[in-house]
Amino acid sequence: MSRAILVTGGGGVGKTTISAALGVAAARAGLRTLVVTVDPAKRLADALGVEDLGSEPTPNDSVENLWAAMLDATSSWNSIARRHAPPDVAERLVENEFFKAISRQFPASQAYAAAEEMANFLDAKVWDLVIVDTPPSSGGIEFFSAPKDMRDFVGGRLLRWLTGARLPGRKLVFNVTGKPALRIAGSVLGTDLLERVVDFLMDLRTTYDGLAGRAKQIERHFRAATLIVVTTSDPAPLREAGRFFRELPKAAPSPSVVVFNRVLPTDWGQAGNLRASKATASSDNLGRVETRTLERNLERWAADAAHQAEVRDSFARGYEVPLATIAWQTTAPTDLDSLAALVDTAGGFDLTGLL
Amino acid sequence: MPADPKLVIVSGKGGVGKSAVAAAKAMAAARAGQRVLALSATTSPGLGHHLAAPELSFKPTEIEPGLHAASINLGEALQEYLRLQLNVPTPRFGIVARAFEVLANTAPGVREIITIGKAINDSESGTWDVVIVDAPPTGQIASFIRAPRTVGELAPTGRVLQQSAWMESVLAAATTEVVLVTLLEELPITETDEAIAELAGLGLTRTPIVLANRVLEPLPIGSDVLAGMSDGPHRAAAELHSALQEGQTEWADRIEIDGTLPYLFGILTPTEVAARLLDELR
Repeated sequence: MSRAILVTGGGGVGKTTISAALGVAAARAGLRTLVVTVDPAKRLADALGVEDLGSEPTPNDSVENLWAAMLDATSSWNSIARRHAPPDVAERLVENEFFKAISRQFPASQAYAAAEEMANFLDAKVWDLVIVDTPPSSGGIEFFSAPKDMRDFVGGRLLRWLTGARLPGRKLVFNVTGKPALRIAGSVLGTDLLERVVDFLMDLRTTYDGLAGRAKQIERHFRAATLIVVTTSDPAPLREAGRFFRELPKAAPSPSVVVFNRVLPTDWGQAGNLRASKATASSDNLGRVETRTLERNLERWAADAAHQAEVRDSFARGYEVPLATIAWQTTAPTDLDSLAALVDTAGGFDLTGLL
Repeated sequence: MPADPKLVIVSGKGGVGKSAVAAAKAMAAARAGQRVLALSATTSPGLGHHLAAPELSFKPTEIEPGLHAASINLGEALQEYLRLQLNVPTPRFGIVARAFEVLANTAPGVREIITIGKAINDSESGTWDVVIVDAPPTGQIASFIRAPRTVGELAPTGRVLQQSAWMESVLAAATTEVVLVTLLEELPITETDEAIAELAGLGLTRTPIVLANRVLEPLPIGSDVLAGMSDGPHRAAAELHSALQEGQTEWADRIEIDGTLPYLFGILTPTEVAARLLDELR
């Protein structure tokens, strides 16, 4: 049985690093593990052993049982078209200007592509654990509504706006000039443009049955998955994390844990005065200016630490969810040992228990 | 001296503080006596929070003397675009709006042109001395700014084409400025670099301005002194500071930076963040 762990959260909070860290820890614990990521930093991609976008799962050279795959929305979309549309239509679709635009720009599309790949990897039953680092464009709760948004999108809702309640059959060549209402729209936008769009939407609609069925399966995978929300103490990612508790879509599981990243030690606020402990100052050979500098530096970081602690307390109280803390790293961990250490040294919650 | 900007587009990777910078820039311009409109062109509510007005609406609300703020809502922006820019007469409105909604979900650039078109129209309206836009993140900024050209290439007819050409000329003018906010870390720097390369092909008169946010001052403590200290919070905090600061210096060398904003210690609310950045910008 393959299980999934979904790692979500706002931009810049360290989702990819934590996904990789969980992957290394799981593989070292003997689970056949695949990490699916979207846009890793160069050094992290190197550590995971993935090089090219859209690559198939690649086994890691140094860690047994660890695979990684890097998603590319465009190529995932092409395979979605090929999977769900008749062959001739699929070929027309992947070359279509609007299809290309959607695969890059439609907000739900990157998320849907990631979700469908996740489902494919789970169904392959090759891995014990599939860890998904959600796409940056929809790292939040939008990830979970992507299957529904896609279903609505290809379902002909847009097409019906243009053509009225009855959808034209594919055999009909759609003609704007035959419809008075569309002639009006055409006079503003250009009839040629409208006809191209309607043509495209009719092609896209052929994917509906396949895609709608797949979307339901994806939602089942979602509900069975373990959800980890990552945040820092900054207001923007915190707001995003809070949405998982206030507005969680039906298709999503409740978060098992919220991971606070870049956490400062809580005891920095209680540190004594450096000058007061004369012995230390003199044995460390610190001058007066240096002592003052070090005290002032600690004061400022301790204020940050205190603020962080306050933020975590109020989050835990407000949403009644367990929290894990990961200490602020001086350099981004990119080698396998320091990645695994992130999971082992997390405070407040045993992350290995989720693997 | 280049002309004062009339349209300022602020972007940055998620999490780098772009909304805070946009808010601070808007307040700075208003306090310098300009009539300012701060516009949120993203789905995130950041700008409003930094301006202590969490519920921004499409209609500008006054934040403080000289400063108004609004949030661009696609539906309302479309109505305005059709009425004011395309002069679509009322009886035809419904069907054209519908067709546009389909296009906004299908064709490249249409969603963006409605949003950026609103900002451009406001900046050219004469009501404001400057319009400051909290724009989509760096990954999408080039397609946002390229939208008029993209839509032009879809080969629409008369008025849409005309309006696109006009928007392109406003964006290309010396009075339009793009500000990219970044952190001195790998991913934000890489994304900023990519955005600059993509923007370079769009015919902007001004090269984008890069602002590095949350920059740490070097700690004037020698590494030999640090190494000789006993363990404890003082040493740990100094080591964290120095390591982060050195990491920042390393990344700062990879890109040309026009200005820096400091790391703010122990700051509590979005409003306070914007107020402190405002002091730095002035």
